[in-house]
Amino acid sequence: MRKKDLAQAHTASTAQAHPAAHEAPAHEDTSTGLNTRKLLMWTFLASDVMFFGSLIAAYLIYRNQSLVGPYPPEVLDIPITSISTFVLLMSSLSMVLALHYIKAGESRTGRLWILATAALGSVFLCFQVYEFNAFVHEGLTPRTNLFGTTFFTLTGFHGAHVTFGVAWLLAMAIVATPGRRERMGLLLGVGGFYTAAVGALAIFAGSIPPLDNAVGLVMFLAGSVIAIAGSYNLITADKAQKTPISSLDLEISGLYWHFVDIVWIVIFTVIYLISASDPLPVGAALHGG
Amino acid sequence: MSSNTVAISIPRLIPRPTERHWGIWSWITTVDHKRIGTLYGVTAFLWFLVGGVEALVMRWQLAMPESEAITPEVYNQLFTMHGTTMVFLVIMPLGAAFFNWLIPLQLGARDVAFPRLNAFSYWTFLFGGILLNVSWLVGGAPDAGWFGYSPLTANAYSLGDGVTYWILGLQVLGVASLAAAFNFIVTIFNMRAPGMTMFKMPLFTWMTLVTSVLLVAAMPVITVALIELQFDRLFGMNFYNTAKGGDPILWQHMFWLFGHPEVYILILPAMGIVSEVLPTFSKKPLYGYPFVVFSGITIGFLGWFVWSHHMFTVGLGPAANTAFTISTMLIAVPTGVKIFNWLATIWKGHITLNTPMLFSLGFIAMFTIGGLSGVTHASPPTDAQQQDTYYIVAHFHYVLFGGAMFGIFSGIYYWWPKMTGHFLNERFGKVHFFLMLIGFNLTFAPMHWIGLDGMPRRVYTYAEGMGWDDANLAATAGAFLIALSVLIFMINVLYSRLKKEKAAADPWDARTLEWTIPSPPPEHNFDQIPVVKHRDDFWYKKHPELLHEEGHDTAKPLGVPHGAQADGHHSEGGYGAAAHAPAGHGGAGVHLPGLSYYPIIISIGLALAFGGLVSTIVLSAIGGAIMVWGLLGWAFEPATEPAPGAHH
Amino acid sequence: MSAIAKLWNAIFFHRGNGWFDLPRTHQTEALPPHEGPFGPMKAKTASWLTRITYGGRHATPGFYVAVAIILTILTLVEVWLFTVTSLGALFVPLLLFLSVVKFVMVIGFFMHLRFDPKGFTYIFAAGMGLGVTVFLVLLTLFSKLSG
Ligand SMILES: [Cu+2]
Repeated sequence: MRKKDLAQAHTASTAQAHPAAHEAPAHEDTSTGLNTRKLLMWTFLASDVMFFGSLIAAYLIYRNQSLVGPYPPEVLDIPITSISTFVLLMSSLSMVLALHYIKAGESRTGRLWILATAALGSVFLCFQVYEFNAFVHEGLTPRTNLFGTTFFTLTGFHGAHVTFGVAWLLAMAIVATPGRRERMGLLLGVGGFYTAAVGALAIFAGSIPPLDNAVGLVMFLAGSVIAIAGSYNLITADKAQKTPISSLDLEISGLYWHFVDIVWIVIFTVIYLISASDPLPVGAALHGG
Repeated sequence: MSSNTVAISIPRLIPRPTERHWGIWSWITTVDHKRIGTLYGVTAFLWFLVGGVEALVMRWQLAMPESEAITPEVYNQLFTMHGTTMVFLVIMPLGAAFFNWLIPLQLGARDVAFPRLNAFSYWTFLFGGILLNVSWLVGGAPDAGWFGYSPLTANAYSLGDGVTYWILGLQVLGVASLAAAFNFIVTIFNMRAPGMTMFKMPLFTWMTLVTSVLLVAAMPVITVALIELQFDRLFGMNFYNTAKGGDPILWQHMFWLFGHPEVYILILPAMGIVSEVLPTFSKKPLYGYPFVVFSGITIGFLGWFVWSHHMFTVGLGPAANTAFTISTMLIAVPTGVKIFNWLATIWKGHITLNTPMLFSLGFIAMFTIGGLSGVTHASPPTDAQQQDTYYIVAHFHYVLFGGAMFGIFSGIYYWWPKMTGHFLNERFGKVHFFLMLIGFNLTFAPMHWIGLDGMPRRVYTYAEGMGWDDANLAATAGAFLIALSVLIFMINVLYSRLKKEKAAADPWDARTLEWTIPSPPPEHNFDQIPVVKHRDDFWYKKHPELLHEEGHDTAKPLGVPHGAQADGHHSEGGYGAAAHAPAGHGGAGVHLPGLSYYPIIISIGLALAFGGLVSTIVLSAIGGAIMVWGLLGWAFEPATEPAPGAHH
Repeated sequence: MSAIAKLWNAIFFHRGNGWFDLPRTHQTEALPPHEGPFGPMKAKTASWLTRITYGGRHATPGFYVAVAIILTILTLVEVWLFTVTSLGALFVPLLLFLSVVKFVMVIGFFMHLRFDPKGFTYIFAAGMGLGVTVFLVLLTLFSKLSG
């Protein structure tokens, strides 16, 4: 019975800390007291552990088994990947802040953090596109050797998870934006952002065929201006406006998002830092060194 | 669930279906776990006939030495598809049919936790099975065995698209299994009736939980293995390409890492069924309930560390072989515990020898034979003699047919009155059982002999004078006996539909909650959610005098959630009006989840998206678009429509 | 009672409760001061740890930012370790340790396992435990852990 008292005390203390109406009850009316949808998401994540575990295991089993180059130390770019890792880490912070503010009823701030999360996730994806593109230019494709096969498969499926997460967050942002003026801001902000992102990619990757540097620069600048203009509507939105978003929905998408982040924590260590320190096979010369 | 969500007025993509109760649309849009269970059962039985015909053709070919009835190519396709069909399209979904029908009823719930996800599982299973079998029509079925060993599956050795269909079909089926498994785990954890603690759950529910946990952990592994193979075949990657350093042994590891837990995914539901049938027809509680539960859990855990016993002849080295020998022999212990518990359950019971009981007894006998022959190839030197012979074929058919299928037939005869409201005929049933028992043993017992005598499996014919002729002829005769027994089962079903011998709510004097409600159950299952005090609560409700005698724990129910009155209607004996109320009356106030088109829409999109990978990418794009549409529609459609007139 | 038994009890037990049994929340009755091997230190440390990690309560934005800063510092340490060439056999274990710390911080604080009911932790831990064990066995079979 002591457990039950604790649970009740817990409920009471949370209610005190957050008087906002958006707070989900700490003790749900289910057999376990766990929220049914959160339980589903955690079960899914436990299962996804086996999915990524299998992919990482395949990568490790084929580590140092490639018969021909390019080998990991020749192509992996640790400074660039460190930045993209930091970006994904920051997206986890903005996700948890979004949930905090939506729960607290501050929907305007919460919505901005949701969008920040989607934006940071998209920047991470841009880094991935840039990286894949660079690897192909250095002669590493999924067919080249075992490193290419396992690397592109593993990081590609991680990227697919991020992409799905971004789409999910954008859908949440749309739902969280009821007003006309704010919806316009959202449209401009998101549209401008992706225009700028494609422009930036065209400049840095330098090989998106129809886009040359000049077009890329124009897209980047114009997109940025539109995005800032759209964001203005969102930043100055009515603070008191109610958002028809459930904190539970956001919490569940957040669980997914953080999971994708922890998978990357493992990938960054195991694939990037460790593999980039692997010894080169005897006789292999560094590419373009 | 929290009701603080403000209703959003998102435009519906298509109007929500509302018409209930008849027509094909009511089946397409249903989210009722009982109807979905029926769909699973009927579909899986049709696949059972397909897989059975494949087996008969193979037996026809093998009846005589040097027979020329079919070509080796067709024979390869037949044994591949027979195995794949029976595992993924028959035994697994038949298990799912029982999960769907029984889990909410045994838990005292009105439906599963996620009814639309449940419908999605079924439709995805259906279209996955169709995708797999489309290969027959477009240039040849898969022909690399149900285990798809590399490099047999490489483009160089498997011409045509058969193996690609196999990869894609299994991936779609994997999605269906995963979705169902998530659903049942959450349902069993979260939707138990007040007072039903984990150790008051029926055994079948426990085994469903263990099976679902195994599925959730095992399906991702085979999915990754299939993805790797698919990338090799479609995009020229190198996972299993030895020319680039790839290792075919990795496939074997990945496949059996999934494959051995899969064996328990196939058998545990049958064990659960038998654990319900035996106590009912022995009029005794299950002997050593906690032992049976814990041995189920132990099997589920240990099952993860035995996979390399399928690879003793690969040459992993003495250390690995020894380790896997020990773990394999260890896992026989919890299995043996279960068998002894079943025997102790019927020991000195008041036994009713009707058809469900006969099938359960048949299960124990046949499964024990299969289990014992399995222990013989836990030893690497013995296994080296048995590997790839008919001895192995005999072993796993004793486990999967004599075990899983006998258990499933036992469940069909046992729960048929509950599901349909009518009995199956006993006389037909007994003929069915004995014909199947005799036919089964005539088919597979001789395979032990010819297997040890060296007859290899997966060969389309054999030479005369090897001493294998009589045994093969007997096996073929047995196979046709099995076919006859299945025909009698179908006649029995037809007879039951025509004769309509009415079944009461509790025709067997059974023990679990599903028998407290009318047969067939009303759409909302329970008029009032029951409150549970004991394991086999219904039994002690009917026979309170046995409570003390059988030494049952009479402590107060634990963990009763808020709002549930611990006594209420319960004290009157029986479950209130529930068992007597005419269907459709008692549940007027019950709010059921709404019908939905989106599960089938997403499933169609998924199957098209996968199917496009082997035909044209345009199809994938269309499938993807349909999926996105379905997902959006699903997301913005509330699971349960707000009651008319209710405002926020 | 022999002197050794007395010492044993003084070190490890207090009224049958092991000294090393960390309290669950900071509200739990503190152990009596100036008893046991570390005096009041242990109880104080545990209570402080519970408080700063918001055990059983919801955290504030400031706390989340602090966690993110620590995660960033750990990532920087990882990248720095990568540039250090003299670590030898220590390199891989150090990196794995750091990534486990980051992993636990994210699931604990960002994914709220620290604040939510324990059921979610058990489910995820079961999946992680099974996955890690199974794939370590697989890697062992490929002799990937010895060299
Ligand atoms: Cu096995």
